[in-house]
Amino acid sequence: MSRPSRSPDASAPAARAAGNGVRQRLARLAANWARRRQGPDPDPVQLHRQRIYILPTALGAGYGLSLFGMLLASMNYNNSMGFMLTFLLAGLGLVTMHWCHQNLSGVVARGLHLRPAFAGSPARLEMTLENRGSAPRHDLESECAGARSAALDLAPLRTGEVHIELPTLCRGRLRVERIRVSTAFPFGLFRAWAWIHPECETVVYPLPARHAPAPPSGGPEDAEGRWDEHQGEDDFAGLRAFRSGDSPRRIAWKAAARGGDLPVKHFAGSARGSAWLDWHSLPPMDDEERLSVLCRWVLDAHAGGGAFGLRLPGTVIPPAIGPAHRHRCLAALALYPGGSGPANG
Amino acid sequence: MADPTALRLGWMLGALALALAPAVPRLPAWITLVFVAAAAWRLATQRQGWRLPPSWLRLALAGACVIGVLFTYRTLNGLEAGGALLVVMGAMKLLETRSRRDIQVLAFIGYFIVMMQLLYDQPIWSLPWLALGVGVITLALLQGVRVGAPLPWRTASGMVLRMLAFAVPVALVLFLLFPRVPGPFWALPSRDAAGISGLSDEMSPGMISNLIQSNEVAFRVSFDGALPPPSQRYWRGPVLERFDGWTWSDLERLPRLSQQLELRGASYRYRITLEPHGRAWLLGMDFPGSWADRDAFLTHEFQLVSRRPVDSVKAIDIESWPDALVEPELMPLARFRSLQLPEGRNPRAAELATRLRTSAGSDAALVDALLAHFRNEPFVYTLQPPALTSSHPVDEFLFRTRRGFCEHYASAFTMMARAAGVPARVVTGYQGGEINPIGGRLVVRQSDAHAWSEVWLAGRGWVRVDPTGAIAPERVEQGLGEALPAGERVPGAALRELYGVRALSQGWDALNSMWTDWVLGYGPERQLALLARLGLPNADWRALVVGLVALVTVIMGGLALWLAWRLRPPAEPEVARLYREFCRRMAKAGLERRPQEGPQDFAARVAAQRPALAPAAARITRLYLALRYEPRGGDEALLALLRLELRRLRT
Repeated sequence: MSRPSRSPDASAPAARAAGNGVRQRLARLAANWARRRQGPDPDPVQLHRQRIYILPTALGAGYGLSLFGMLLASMNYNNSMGFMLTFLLAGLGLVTMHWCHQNLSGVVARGLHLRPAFAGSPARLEMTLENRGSAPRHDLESECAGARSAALDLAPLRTGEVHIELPTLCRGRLRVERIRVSTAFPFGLFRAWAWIHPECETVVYPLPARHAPAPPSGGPEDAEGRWDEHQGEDDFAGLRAFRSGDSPRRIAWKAAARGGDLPVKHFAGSARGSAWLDWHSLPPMDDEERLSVLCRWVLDAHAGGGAFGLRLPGTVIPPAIGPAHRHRCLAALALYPGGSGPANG
Repeated sequence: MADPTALRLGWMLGALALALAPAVPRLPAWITLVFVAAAAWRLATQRQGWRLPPSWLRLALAGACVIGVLFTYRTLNGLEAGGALLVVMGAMKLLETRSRRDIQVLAFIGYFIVMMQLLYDQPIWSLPWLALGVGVITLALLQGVRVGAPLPWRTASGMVLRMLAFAVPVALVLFLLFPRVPGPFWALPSRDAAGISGLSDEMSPGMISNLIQSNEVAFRVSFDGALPPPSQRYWRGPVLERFDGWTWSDLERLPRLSQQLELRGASYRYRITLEPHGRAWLLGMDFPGSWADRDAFLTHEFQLVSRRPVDSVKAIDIESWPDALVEPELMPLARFRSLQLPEGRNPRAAELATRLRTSAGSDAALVDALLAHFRNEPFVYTLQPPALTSSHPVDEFLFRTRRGFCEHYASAFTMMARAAGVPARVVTGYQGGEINPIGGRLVVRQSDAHAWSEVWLAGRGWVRVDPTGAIAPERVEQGLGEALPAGERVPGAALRELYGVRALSQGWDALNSMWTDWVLGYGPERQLALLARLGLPNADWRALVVGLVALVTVIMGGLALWLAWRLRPPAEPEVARLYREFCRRMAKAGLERRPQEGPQDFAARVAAQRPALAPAAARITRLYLALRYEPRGGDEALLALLRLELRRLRT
């Protein structure tokens, strides 16, 4: 199975539009250099001094120029108070630089993960920032591939959640190359930032078809054309240990109260047998459309609560239930080779 | 105002208003109005949710404002017009302020407004005002560029104060050690001299009596050693040689061609600190022989002037010789110039002069005869002389009104000396001054302005003759206040003479003179003097830069340390440290605590895998849990126990 992979950078239209120009190339060079220098990051990762970069912003450069102008004016008029003002502002600028740097230095980032998404809707990158210091930090901004989070303030010894909505265009694998945590506090004259290179990826599911043909017969549909999720509960087959992905609804709470492993009610399949969602049961159509329809079917089947299996050319997922199963099926669709669009590349 | 944008705008508007306040009296009213209107408009749009004015309207308004400034000042250049332009541009910027970046730009405009004010005027309170202005603008900047909601007022001001606490030492170091390049690099249009009181380069009846209405300080002098007697405190300003019958005026200032100044007698060394007066003259005491300023030179009339107008406080060290022999040989051209008189003016005065010359027999005797004439005839020294209206003003003064101020006497005396064939000229400047017992400086005010004459006598060169001294000798010895007739007062002097006010004003003046000497007059010379005092004689700019960088680095290091200390992780309680030590020792023994394992689970695993360690692990874990999760008074004993257990632990 080929692994269509893409970086979010490549798909961000803004980045592509500005992709020409020396600046972009320099930024890329710098980012690559930082990556080589730092290596992949563990989770949690502390943004310590050695990995914080700081540069004046455009505004900071303007500030410097203004100060230079003030200095020239003071020299020209040989004006002591002019010198005093210029130097006070220069001192303030220097203080700001340190302040900005320290505002970021020592922040801990952890719990980095990406949530899967459907093509076209944003994939959510979640991260926790932690302040282990005894003074507050302000205006921590995180961005990834041109998408940014809201600014975060961290009181001493507090954590905060960061959400970045990464835009997605098409199905495939979505990998986060790097995240930038930065701050321009206090005056926006300097920006200090740190790169995080997480091992963090997810899949972008195909966009579910809006109008899908009915699933093939033999599906777990009742006479009203409605999934009935209570149906299968008649065939109680015993208890088994909890597995990740089990619905909390199926946990045997009474049995759980006795202690030990969390028991889950196990059913011997649905009343009418498992449904198979089959690639080949669809009329001839474009691969991507087919994936779309299958995606819709998987979602509907999961919502129905009955067991279902997925058959794709080259991949067979036996019938099962639960969110983990749903994700497995959708990921299989997402990573299905071929199709159109840059997901292929 | 819950709206954060309104809050930010409010902060910035307040800061700008504060920065602008001292400039308001100087600015044309319409500019203040434009600013206030723009601020009100912008606040209203924010409150009411109106749209900001469209860009064409803003452009039109900005254009109108620029034309308005151009119309008011006839230029866009210079301090006044530039400052006004800055203010209206700030007002226009307000109208389009939307983003955080706009707020930042407004803050920069605010800093420039402060700068403009400081370039214009540097009284002693400008230092606290500078600190306040910068603090408040910076506070508004901090709130304005915050990405999150504005910080609470106290937090934000505390933060700015701490920043300033580190920025101020940096500023002081830079102020003291930043290499000061002497002199301007390019000629900026100097400030409008019309608004400043001071001597002028011409003199006609009434001009000096006008000037002395001002109580402002003209300059201060600190003498190195003894003070000269009052009769020698003549501060030489413009020397006027051309006379048109009414007005005395200056010829072009030429560098001295001949070295005809023979320095002799006692000399006085002093430092004169001039308030800015917008003119070039430096007002050295008669006669300046040496000085420490590369820009200063002596004219052919022995007046010390600078190549540049004195636009800011200027201090200069001078040595003067009051008894110097000045120009013993008078060149024919100089003689011609100092005998020039307008044709057909003041005939009666000329006729009197020639008569007196004939009876006197010599030039020196003529001078005495002229002074005797002033002394013997009923002349009155007064600040309020009647206006002279005829086309022969000297005649009118000598024979009809006979009431005049120093310029009347100097003018009449010089004119008559010339008419009698004695080379003569008018010298304006200041005479006298008041000694401030605090600090011992001589304070010379505009009210000490004076005019006198010089005549050239063979063998004696130019000799100062002060005809005012003939009528009112107190003027020269004790100052104007004593010389005026009863009922006339020096303006502003009445208040100063009250005892308490006098002491207060002397204290204030001493403070001011220190301010002008040490802060405003701090320049390249003072800088080198400071270094010499610190044990670095012959230091050059390289030493300054090294010292500067070193000190700033030390301050910034202190800041970095303080910031790091502030953000330090809180100290770990001892019990946690001890338990960590326990885990470390277990790990060394091959039993690593897993991240998800609680202390009890870990103890159970230790017991299962290494039964020998079980009792110790159980005890340590029990102690740890008790100390950590059930703290109560008297835990010291338990802590000691835990320490003991750890010491006894043998893996």
